[in-house]
Amino acid sequence: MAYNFEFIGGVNNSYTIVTSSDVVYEIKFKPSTYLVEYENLDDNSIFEFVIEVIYRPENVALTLDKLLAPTINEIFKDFYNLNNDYVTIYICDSSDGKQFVRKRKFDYWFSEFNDYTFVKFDDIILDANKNSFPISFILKRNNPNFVKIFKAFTAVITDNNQDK
Amino acid sequence: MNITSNSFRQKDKLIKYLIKSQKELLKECHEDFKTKEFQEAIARLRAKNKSQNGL
Repeated sequence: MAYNFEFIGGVNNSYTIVTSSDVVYEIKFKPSTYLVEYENLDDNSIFEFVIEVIYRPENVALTLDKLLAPTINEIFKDFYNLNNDYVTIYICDSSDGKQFVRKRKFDYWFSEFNDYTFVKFDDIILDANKNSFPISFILKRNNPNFVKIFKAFTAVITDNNQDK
Repeated sequence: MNITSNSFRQKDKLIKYLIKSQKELLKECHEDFKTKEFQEAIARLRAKNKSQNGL
């Protein structure tokens, strides 16, 4: 069972969900124009993913919502139905230093929603100050470029981190 | 997979780019909420939730 959702579209492929507690989420898949620098990666197949609460009633706390994970699954399936080659990059919001808390939450969602359609690769990317940020790549198991994508992203992140 | 030298020159900018892009996207989400298109979609979803027992 999952919540109803709507695809709003736009440049960054927006979806919205309204929960039974009237919490409103927005999910976006932004075409990643930066990462298409890499050879052999389709410039229309890489997206940055965000999920954000855009409305929450004052008296409602953000507790575990068991319908959210399957709803995110439905949204991923809906989006990836457009193209099996899609790859999603996800880094957790780090503005408040809680990126690893969000990572654990996202991992839980992923483990709950994933019915083996998708594969997620996790890594850590470092900035110049050696701050670490969890980063994930999500693609369909049947992505025809599965191995190439895995190798490319691993190489990019390894190389990025070796500079630090 | 080969990676272009141009890409390697830009590699150290990757995390900066991703964080900046993410901030912009999150900000954009809150702006989207105010738009008529979103408000209409949210109203439709609220109506669906109301019509479905248990949601």
